Amino acid sequence: MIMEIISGKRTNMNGLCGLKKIVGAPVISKDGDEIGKVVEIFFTEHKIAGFVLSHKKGPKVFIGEEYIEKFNEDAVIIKINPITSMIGLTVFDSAGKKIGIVKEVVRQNNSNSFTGIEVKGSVLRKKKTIPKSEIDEIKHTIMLNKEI
Amino acid sequence: MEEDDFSIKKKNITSDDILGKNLLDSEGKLIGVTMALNIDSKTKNILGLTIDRGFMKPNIFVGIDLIKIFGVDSIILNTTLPIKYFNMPVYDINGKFIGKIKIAKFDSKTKEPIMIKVKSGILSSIIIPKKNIKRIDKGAILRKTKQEILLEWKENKKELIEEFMELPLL
Repeated sequence: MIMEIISGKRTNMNGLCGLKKIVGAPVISKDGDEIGKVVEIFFTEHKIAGFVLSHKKGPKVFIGEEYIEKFNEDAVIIKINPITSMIGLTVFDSAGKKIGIVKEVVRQNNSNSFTGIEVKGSVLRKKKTIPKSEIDEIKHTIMLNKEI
Repeated sequence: MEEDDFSIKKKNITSDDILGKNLLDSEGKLIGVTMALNIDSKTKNILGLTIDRGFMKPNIFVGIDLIKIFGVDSIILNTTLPIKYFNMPVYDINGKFIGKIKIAKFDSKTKEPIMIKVKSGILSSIIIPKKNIKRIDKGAILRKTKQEILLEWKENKKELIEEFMELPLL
C-alpha cells in the first residue's frame, strides 16, 4: 500500500527506521555476541533514551542510548558487553576448580561497571561474593586469578 | 619424609585426573572432553591429549605445551584454538547477519585471522579479507554493508579465491 507523506522536511522515507521493525531486532554486543532481542524502546520527547532487551540469560535490561553504537531494522549494535551477561556464567578458580554459577552482579550504580559477583556452587551452599579484583578473565566462563 | 610424600602426591596426577575432564581454552570456552593421553613410545614423554568434541565433530589433538593447568574440575589451555572461529556469526556494519565462518586463514605471526570464508546461503560462500573486518571476538562485525561486501566479492572473486588458496590453514 502506498503511503502519503505529510512533512515539511521530508520528501521520501529513505534512511528512516520504523519502531515496529526495531522491536524484535537482535542486540549485538561489543564482542559480536548476540545477547538478546529488543522488546521495548523508550523516548524522552523526540529522542531515543534507550532500549530494553530481553537477555538470553538473566533479567530484562535497559540499555541507555549512550551505549548504543548503531541501530536499524536489522540489529542494534551496542558499544559494551553488558555486565548482566555474566549472569549464568560458570566460574573457575586459577586451579581449574569449578566454583559455581554467577547468580548476581554486584553494582554500585547503574553504569556498566561492577564491584563483584555473587556465585552459588550448589543447592545447599550459600552465595559467595567474589570481588572484581579476583577476576582474571570474563569471556565464555569467568576465570579467577586465585585459588579458592 | 612424610611431608615430602605429601608434596609428591599433591604434584603428581594420574590419567584418572585427566581423562573425561572438560578442556577449556584460555577464554573459558569448552573445547571438548579429554579422551586419550598421547605418549611417545620411544621417549616416554606425554605429547598431548586427544579431545572428543562431540557428535559429528572430528576429534582434535592438543599438544602438552598448550596446557596451562590440569585443574580439579577441568583442564585449561594457555591459548585459544583456531576452531573457536568455526561457525562464528558474521554481521555487517549495520548488524545484519551475513552467515557463519566455515574456514579462517591466519597470519602466521600474530595468529589473527586475515581472511575468512563465510557460508552465506545454502550453496553460497563468500571470502572476506581482514580489511573488511572491524572486530572479531565472539562474533565478527564487518566495516561495510552486506550489499557492499557482496559487490566487492562479485568484482574480486577470482583474486580473493586465489589469495585465500595460497594462505596456509595455520
